[in-house]
Amino acid sequence: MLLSFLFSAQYVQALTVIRGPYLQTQTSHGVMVRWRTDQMSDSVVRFGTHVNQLNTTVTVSGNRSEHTVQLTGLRPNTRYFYSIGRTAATLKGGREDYRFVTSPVPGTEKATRIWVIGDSGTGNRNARSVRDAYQSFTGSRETDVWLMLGDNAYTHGTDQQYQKAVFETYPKLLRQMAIWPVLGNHDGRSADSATQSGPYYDIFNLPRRGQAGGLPSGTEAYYSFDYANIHFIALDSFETNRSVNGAMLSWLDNDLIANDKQWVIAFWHHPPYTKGSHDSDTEIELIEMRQNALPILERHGVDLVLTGHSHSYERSMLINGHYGPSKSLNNTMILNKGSGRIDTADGAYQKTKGVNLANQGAVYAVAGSSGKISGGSLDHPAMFISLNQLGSMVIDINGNRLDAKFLNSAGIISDYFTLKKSSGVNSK
Amino acid sequence: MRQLIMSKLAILFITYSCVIRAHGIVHEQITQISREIVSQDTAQNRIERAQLYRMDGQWMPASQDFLRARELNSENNRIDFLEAAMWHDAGKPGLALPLVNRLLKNQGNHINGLWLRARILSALGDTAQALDDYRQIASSAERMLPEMYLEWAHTQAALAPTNLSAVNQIIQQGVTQLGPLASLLQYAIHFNRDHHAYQSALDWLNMLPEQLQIQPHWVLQRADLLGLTEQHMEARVKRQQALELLLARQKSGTLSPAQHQLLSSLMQE
Repeated sequence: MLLSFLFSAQYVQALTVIRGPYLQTQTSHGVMVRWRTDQMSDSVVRFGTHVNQLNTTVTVSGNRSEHTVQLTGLRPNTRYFYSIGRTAATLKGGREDYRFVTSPVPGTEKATRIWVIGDSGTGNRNARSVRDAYQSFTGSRETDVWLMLGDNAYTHGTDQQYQKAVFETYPKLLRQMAIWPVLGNHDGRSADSATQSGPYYDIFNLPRRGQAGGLPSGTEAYYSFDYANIHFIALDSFETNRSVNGAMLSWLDNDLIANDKQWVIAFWHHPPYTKGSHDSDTEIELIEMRQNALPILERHGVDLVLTGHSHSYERSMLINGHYGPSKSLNNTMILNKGSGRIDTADGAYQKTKGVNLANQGAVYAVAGSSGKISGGSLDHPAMFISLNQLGSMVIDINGNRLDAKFLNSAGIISDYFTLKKSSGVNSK
Repeated sequence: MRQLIMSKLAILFITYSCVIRAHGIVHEQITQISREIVSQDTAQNRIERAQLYRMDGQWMPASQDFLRARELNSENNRIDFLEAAMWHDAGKPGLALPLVNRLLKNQGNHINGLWLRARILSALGDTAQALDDYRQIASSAERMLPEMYLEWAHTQAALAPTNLSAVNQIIQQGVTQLGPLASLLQYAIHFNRDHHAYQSALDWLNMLPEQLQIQPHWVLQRADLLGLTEQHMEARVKRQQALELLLARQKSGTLSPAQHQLLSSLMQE
């Protein structure tokens, strides 16, 4: 008896969480909680709407060190507190900062804050300074959606590199909201989209069955999800066929045909327009995404396209129909050449309110400087501004208005613009 | 011990240089790694440079680097795969085939190898052999991709364009495995319609997710197929439904240019 007690006490002490918890595939009615322990155990999540009353328990029996617990039947737009552990003990959580808020009912309006980081995977003080600048900026305003634009863990996207660059760099955020990533070329060095294997696919659970909104894609390499009145589309610009008749772009077209959300934000790794540390005139992934994906997105009224790869911040004017090399940009493709800054004479970029409205213009941003900067000529003619600064993007959507900022690692807003939607607006 | 430290240092050096390499555009990266190769001629560096040459379309220097990497390393399966993929990219499937054959001789269930060989064989016109590889992928892969089913169906169609049931079976297999994906169903609808199998196209259309079936684009597709299967009354109903959907969009100011064209043609009718 004594031996059994001692053994069990020692076991409880020895079992340690070495990764997470972190959240995946957050929807209005559920979320997946994941963590890793140094020894095998069963998996238990206790949760509730008050921090001291975690009255509901979900247990996954059987011993494992990679724990995945799906919480279902949650209420939309509701704050939950939780803890993780095993049947006999809580290992982490049950505190104020172990919490998440479920997504609102899809289609409803909710003031939404989105944090966007790209090429953040250095795990060094650059990445930490970008993170800290954002945390100071957002303060008690919770983040609703967190996008990661690829090259999430340098140099090869290994499990160890993910541990350092993601799990040890953003522990607090990871336990409070789901992360929505795309595959970068560095992640692709160890991940394989064809077999859906490797660290990237092992670490993330992404909605291939349309369980977070949008149409099922059949793969975690590309997917879509809804948050409030926003439809997000994540594409794989690296390892998946980028041709118009390929499965990804065929899915994309239909996903957008079926979309009924007011805002459409698409994100992937390789930018269609850049003159940073990469050149969209010469590199095949960038050219093909521009030539093949952009016409579909614009035909269905995409508002904002976010990419990384170049380690800089480059942000376009309101443009439409620019599918050729940089020199082919002409005035008919520039729907608004102003800054998009609402507090200046230029004013906000204007679009007509509605769903699936074609060719009204979109803003394209490269936000690949969340872990390093690498310069470049930074003179793509589609860009309103190009900066060689460490930083991240903060996007707020409230009803018919989208405000985007580039927040540098010193906490200074180096760029900002607004997209507004109203009835019967001519964007020119 | 000294050896261990040296190997760790080498790993650190390679890791560090990878970080550096990620900075520049391709030509700068090639210059940089070429400098490293002068002092450290490793298989990893040669493979990295070969991949950069491949990105830049410089096939011969890439091939030379792959050759040197083989001399420096026994990891020849990976090198065979990468070089075969490069020759496939270069439009030289004849050079790619022996490499991927060697890879698959060593590792028969290499899914990416099988997929690459299927593409290479298709490019060489040997579609029957390519179909064998797709079948093997389907039986070996833990999870198939939508793309694999599409390519498989396309290859089958190339081999026997009139054998609709063979193509339909492949798509059905994909739908069974992955669910009713729009990408697969759209292919099946178009393929059957193009081959005048209108009822079959309609059957596939019925499998589309509900939120797609109610969109004007697909309502009109259905109307067309109903007309082609002599179901004229039902076709008219669907056309009317599409017209109402488009008019509603026009009223709310949300008609796209493509939908505007559709509306004009419907109004003319």
